[in-house]
Amino acid sequence: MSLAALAARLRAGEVSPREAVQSYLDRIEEINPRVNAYLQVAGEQALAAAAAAERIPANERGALWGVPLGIKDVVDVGGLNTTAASEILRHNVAAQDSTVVARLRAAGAIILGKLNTHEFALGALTTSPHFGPARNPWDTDRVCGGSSGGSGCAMAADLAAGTLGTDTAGSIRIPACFGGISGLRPSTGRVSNAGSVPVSASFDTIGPIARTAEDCALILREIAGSDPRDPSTFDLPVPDYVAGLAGGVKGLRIGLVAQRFERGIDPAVAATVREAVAELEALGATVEAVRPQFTETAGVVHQLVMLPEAAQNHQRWLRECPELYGADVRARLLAGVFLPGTAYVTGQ
Amino acid sequence: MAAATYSFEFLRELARLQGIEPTDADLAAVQTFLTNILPALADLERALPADVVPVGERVPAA
Repeated sequence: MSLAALAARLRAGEVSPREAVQSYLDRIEEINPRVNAYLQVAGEQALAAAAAAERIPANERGALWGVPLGIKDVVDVGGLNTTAASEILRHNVAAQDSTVVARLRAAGAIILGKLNTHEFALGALTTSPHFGPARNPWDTDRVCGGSSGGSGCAMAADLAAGTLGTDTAGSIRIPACFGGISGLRPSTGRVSNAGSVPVSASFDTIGPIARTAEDCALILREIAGSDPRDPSTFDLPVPDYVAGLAGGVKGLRIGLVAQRFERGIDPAVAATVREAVAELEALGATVEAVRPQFTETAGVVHQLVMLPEAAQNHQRWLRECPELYGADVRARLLAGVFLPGTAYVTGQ
Repeated sequence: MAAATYSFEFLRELARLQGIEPTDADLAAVQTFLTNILPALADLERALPADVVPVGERVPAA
């Protein structure tokens, strides 16, 4: 069931918040040992929050009233550990909610627990050597992408009505793709990063991974907006993303990046994208080939900026306890240590 | 810029000066990374039009 459908059933009184939460807790207990999407399940807290939600008068209930959500374990949920799937932060208890979690709770959402991630969100596999890999529910011998792999895994296995992920270099989009579900990387500055473990200030953003585009819109509408705790956020009005879906894609002009189809693309992927293009055109959108400047070098530019920023964030731990990192993450961070400062500025 | 000139010894000393003690496996990974990224960086710098300046050097129009 989609988040939108569950929210509607909750509002209609067809299901109670406690029933919704218990249903997900039962499913997590049954399935999570096979996929390792959740690193922590806050069952008692979630049931208590659901009971409290039921006491809220109907006219004071938010858009996500009673909706159970999972949160990537780099985003603080007050009272729960924020481990970032790392040994270094294994016992790190969040003193307060991150801004996004506080906003979700204000909208009525209930937090089920914390979701697996690539260690420190610094990789695309979600194979933490400290907490174990998240496995793809479609085939548990395969990875589920990353770094928000636990979020993608939880949605693909129906272990939450919606989730939050974070994205610095594809970490929402990749697991959404691998899980066959929806994910949205908002523009940087649209959603507050306050209360999350940073990777790279230039690129980090929190966003939804959910079952449908409408579900992503429902979550984004609640978490977007400026925040005094995060000066990088924009002080701009937040559009009603859900209402914005009502017109469909009719009349939209969509750019198709031509360079992406000229080399290095799997024929099956290209064919699938072409099918999507045909579908969008059939629904009234205009799809045009575009050739943005520097597309071929975007990956290099991204690394020149992201890796030094990530290395700077981890410098103290790289000095004091390098052995506590997984080998892949430590090597990635050290790459940032060795890049010259001029490379960072060129990247910008 | 030839990344091959970045020997383990050079990289280890550079790391030590920053208070970091990488393993040989770390240095091998870094060496591979630099071997790939530095020529790409050089290509990028050559490809940049003369009027493109880093974001930090842009002066807002009066």
